[in-house]
Amino acid sequence: MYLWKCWREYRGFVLGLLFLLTAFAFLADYSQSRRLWWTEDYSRAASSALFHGMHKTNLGVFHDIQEMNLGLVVIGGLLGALFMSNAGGVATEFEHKTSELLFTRPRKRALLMWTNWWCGLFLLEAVLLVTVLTSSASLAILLHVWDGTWFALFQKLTVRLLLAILAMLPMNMMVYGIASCAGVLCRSVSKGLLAAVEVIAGYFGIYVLLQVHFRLDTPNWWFDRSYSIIGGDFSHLELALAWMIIALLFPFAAQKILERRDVV
Amino acid sequence: MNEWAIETRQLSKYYGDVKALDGLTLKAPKGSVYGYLGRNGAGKSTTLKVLLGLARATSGEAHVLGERVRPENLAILERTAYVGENKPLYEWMSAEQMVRFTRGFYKSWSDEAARRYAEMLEIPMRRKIKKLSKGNRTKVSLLLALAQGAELLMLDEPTSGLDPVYLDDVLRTLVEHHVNEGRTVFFSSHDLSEVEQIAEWVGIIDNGKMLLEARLDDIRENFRTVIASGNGLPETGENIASVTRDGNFRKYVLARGGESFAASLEQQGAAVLEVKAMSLREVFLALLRKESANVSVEVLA
Repeated sequence: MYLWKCWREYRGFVLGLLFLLTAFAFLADYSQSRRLWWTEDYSRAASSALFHGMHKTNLGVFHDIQEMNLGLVVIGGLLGALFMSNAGGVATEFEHKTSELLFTRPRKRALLMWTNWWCGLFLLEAVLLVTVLTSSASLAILLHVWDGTWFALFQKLTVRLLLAILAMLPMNMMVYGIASCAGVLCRSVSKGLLAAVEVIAGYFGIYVLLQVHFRLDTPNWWFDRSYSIIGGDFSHLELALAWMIIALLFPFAAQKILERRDVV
Repeated sequence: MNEWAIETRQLSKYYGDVKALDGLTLKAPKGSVYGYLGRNGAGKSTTLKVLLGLARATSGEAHVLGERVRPENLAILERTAYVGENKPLYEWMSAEQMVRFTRGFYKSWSDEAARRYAEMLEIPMRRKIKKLSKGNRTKVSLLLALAQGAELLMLDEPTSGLDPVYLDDVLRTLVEHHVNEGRTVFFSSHDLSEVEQIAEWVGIIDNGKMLLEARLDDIRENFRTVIASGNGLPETGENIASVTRDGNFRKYVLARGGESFAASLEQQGAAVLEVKAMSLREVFLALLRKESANVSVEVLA
């Protein structure tokens, strides 16, 4: 039943995020696919001829569609992760003054916290997955990819978008973990959100300073390395795993704070 | 087997520099209805929170149902039902959903009891919590606690802000629960009349210290006010709970032996103007408005 409660509290945010992302993805697909208006004669021969004849344009359109969708996955994922704990994380129990109710149930606080945290992360990734699949489906319908002309490009794009979800998982976990931990630390979702933004902005500032200004290569997980996974290069997978483990330290810290904290 | 549902020894709790509990010693017998009295800020809520592991004691020890109190002692939480002072509930749920949410946590949960109490207390089960009146929120909290089938019911100001009709419903339900099921009911309050109405045992706390713990009947039977005038009247003595001075007059509150004390004063040449049995209200006020008080918590226990 606790899992049900978590879902119910996340539900509004999850559905809202899903609606926004899928709407933007559809708009991106629709607006870009209109650039291929001259292929509206979808007969195999005509489109095949056009495909070969206008190869660069087609690739350009597909590239733009891909970049727009990737942007949605990245930005949607990061913003979603930032606001997820705001929507229904354990810190909301302090905000709504229901911590006394929850923590007098015969369950370990650690179990309650981790159940909530994994539920939030799962829902966020599920939103991204549904967005990608919906976007691909709408693109397939808009371009009649079943004719075979676009299918190879479409397939490649879809795989890259799915890999993007995987590639962004460490960052999403990191941001969500920091936001959850900050919320528990501050006993307030809004203060926690502000603290998380400060931490992430601070990290990004240090990253820019070291990587861009001083040209020092740091074991970061921003777009350079995550982009390699999107391209199908898994050579940085160990680094991604290391980032995910580090990201888990934040909810672990939140658990320890929660276990030691007086509920007043 | 331990005869105490709740037992604390020298329990202290500090919030920073603020002393919430100061060497509290408390014993609530199993199967009793125990009224825990004190002014606002006396330490009643803190006591309950420490007993449930919501707050850590700074020093001392406590046992609930024979289990040592520590944070997250699930054995205590499984056997204890708690209603907090502010009746926290999830605003977006209906009372029915609150019941479904809560029952999953307890093996001893009784759907039949939940239905019975919902009918008895006339709770609108389908209405969202945020739309319920304060009285109905209290009833929902109470229903959730009662249907758990817990051995110990801990209630923090269960009737605060209730109108007389709701108040009567709630008190009646508590007594029925206690009588029918033989459970222990431990409730804090600053309303003396409701404590007098249902409690068998009374503990009076002030500034984090237990001033008096006794059976209510013993308090009524033994406590006496003695008003006397004269010179050289005693200020302290065995069984003197408090003394109030006004010129040559002294008003004594005695935990026991009021008549023999009055006789001894007369032997000393004092004029005894009144020897009167006391109500719980008078004892409470005498202890909390004391100029000096030295009643032992063990005196009547």
